[in-house]
Amino acid sequence: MADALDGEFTERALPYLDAVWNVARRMSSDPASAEDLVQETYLLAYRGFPSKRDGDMRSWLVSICLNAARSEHRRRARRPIEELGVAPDVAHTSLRPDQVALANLDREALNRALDSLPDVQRTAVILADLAGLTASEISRACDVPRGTVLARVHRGRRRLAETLTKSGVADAL
Amino acid sequence: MHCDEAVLLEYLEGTLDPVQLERLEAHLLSCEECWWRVRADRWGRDVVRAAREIAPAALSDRIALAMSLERGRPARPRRWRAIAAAGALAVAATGAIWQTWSASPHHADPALVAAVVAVATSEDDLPDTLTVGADSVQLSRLDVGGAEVTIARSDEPFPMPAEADPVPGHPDAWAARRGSLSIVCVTRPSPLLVVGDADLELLVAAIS
Repeated sequence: MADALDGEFTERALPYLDAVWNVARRMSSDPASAEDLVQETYLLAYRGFPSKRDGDMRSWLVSICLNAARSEHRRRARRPIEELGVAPDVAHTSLRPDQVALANLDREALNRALDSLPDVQRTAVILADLAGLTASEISRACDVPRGTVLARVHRGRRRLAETLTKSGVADAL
Repeated sequence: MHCDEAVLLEYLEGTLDPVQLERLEAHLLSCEECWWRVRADRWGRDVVRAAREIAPAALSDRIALAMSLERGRPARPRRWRAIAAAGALAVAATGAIWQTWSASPHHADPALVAAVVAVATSEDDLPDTLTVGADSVQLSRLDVGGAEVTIARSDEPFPMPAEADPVPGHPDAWAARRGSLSIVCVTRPSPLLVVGDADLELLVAAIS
């Protein structure tokens, strides 16, 4: 019986690993922390699965990931200030070094633009465009009305476009 | 049709019915403001989508191992591999630097650890229980990314070999290498010894 439950969890949860990874990656300071966050997300989901078998798995996983990330941020905020190195943002790619440099430059510009968004817009854009959630799924994951989600996603995307255009990273719209 | 943000937002979400869609598209032909909003939205969306990443190849194995340790049962990583993207197994970086030891058997290992290592590397069927003196452990096997690991469970903490390294950030956990074998031991929530020809960083990351 327990093995069947394990199998069901595996079948239903693993297809969303990329979506959860993209959320974790943006909620974490470096790839290693993102991996830890993804593992924690799946363990929390695994423990809670017996009572949550019905329902939208992707929204639920993303919701767990967001809450786990916020808990970690609050926990770190209570720690003494630590010396933190800036981890290189290495993409999982086989680009040449010069191509990696360009990709990282664009990635840095995008990261800065994303970080400049108001939190609610940033979260909405990450969930919609990195994790691939629909507005209804984001609404369930964040417990926010669907209409509000639509507005936040749209305003976030517009603001990103304006920021990246003004910074010269992208051609004018 | 006048500018209607709610309709525009549904259009951008792709949820308008055919009649509404036709009306809005006709409106876009004559409304510069709405047309600009659509362009900006699509551009912002596409830029972010282009930054999507695929999860590291080893992450699914790490999760499978962590789930197995959570429940005390061998996972079914073959299913995970069948579902997850194919690709070479990447090393899950932990930022730790580990020493390596020679390939020959290490005679200084505590008897219980040496016995588990011997069973892990044996061609024989794995027994359910291993008894060494007054110590008795439960054994199981797990396939992690194509490498088989042996898991020993005990009621008492496993003795730590002299040349093992503590695991940073994890009290009462240690790790060691014996040639190509990786050995990881944790005491909480229950004493576990994991031995196998799997990546040490992956095993450490899974118990983290």
